[in-house]
Amino acid sequence: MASTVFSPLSKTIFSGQRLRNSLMQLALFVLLVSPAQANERIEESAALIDRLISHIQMVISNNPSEEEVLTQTNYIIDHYFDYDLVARFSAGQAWRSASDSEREAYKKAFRDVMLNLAKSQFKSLATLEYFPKQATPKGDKLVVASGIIHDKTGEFADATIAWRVSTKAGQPVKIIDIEVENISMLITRQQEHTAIIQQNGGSFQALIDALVQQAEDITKTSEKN
Amino acid sequence: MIIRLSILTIASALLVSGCSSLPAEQRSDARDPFENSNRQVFAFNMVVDDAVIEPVAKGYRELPESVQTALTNHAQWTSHPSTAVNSLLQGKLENAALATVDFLINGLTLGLADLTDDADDPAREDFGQTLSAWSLPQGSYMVMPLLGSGTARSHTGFLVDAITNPLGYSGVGGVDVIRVTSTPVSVVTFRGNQFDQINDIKYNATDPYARTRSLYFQYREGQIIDGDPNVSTAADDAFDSFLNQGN
Repeated sequence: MASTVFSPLSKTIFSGQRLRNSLMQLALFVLLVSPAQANERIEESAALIDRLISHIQMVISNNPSEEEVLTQTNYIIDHYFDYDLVARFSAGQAWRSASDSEREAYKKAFRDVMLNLAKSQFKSLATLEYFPKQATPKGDKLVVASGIIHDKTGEFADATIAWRVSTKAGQPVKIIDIEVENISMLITRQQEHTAIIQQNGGSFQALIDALVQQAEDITKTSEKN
Repeated sequence: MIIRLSILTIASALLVSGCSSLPAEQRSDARDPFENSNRQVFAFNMVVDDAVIEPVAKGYRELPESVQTALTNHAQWTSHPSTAVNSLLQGKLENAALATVDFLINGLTLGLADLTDDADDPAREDFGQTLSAWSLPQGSYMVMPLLGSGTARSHTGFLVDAITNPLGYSGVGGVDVIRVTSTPVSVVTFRGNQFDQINDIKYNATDPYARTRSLYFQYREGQIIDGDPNVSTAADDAFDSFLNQGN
């Protein structure tokens, strides 16, 4: 009878079977789907770094003019980096309370600093070689791909470099940070920017002004040299 | 003499900083409650750098490369006894053995020549790292006159290393000269070898104090975890938390 089928005992067995099935499915997901996806993201991250290195080598081999370096750096920032995340992270907590116009001004000023730095230092990359070592997931949205930078002239000792790659589901993998010998570019920037805002009574505009000034100073210094 | 100076410096800085702790909401970094007084000491250290250390480091860079290498080797060599002791205290037996062997072999030239294989150089270990391995909290960030950046833990470690350096108890002739000269030699070789990087912070950073503090914490963490890429760092946690906040 129907009532015996749905007796408390059979209900328990039924629930137990469902639970087992669910656990089995979860285990299968963890064993098969998740690692596959994770491995895919790790491989994608490592491939992104390889493409970036090849791109930089290609640019260097063409002996680019300053204008070409700027064009290529802009291209690199837009195609290999998640500049929106980079800007948001580097601004720290102040990003949340900044107005849209302040955010846009900050993004432009920070990009100008990076562009001018790239312009002044691009040639020094010519003697460097990159040897990838490993890529490790850190949580489910981040992969750290690391390697060694070797200076062909022997002037600088080998240094470890790590690329933090955002691997958010449904989005292309993009670099959000570069770390050399455990020094993260973005953490350093974020902490410096937070201090500038704090030293100026919480003014986000003061940070923008400081970055505009820094971009100009970098240009002047590189012109002097 | 150097030990007395270090004790005096650290004690006076602790006294000064103890009077000016900032409330949490006014700190630009939670680890830096003495930011105002630290900034003053940092400014003083920059004046000393302008007047003495940078010019001397510039002179060091004019020396023949072989002399620069010899002085750098010597500075590293004088730290080996301390590295050996601290490696032992942290259970890093291989590093302790490497430091001991390096110290003994390179001692034939007072450390001026590196007679051992470069690939086997021991990793520098100090008592601050030992205290960290023993899970002692790092304490507040403090900039000391002449000594520079550190935390309560690392400055304490520096002091203990200065007092307990086995080099001082070795009884080897001329060891007092080595002890007296080792700190200035280390300062000059460090400043000279990192000349462009330090000048970049000094002259190009929008806030040299904040950048130095940030670099100190990250570099120190790298030393403490021995650069192991499988250990999650504070930076990894910061990015993980950022990406999980819906960014």
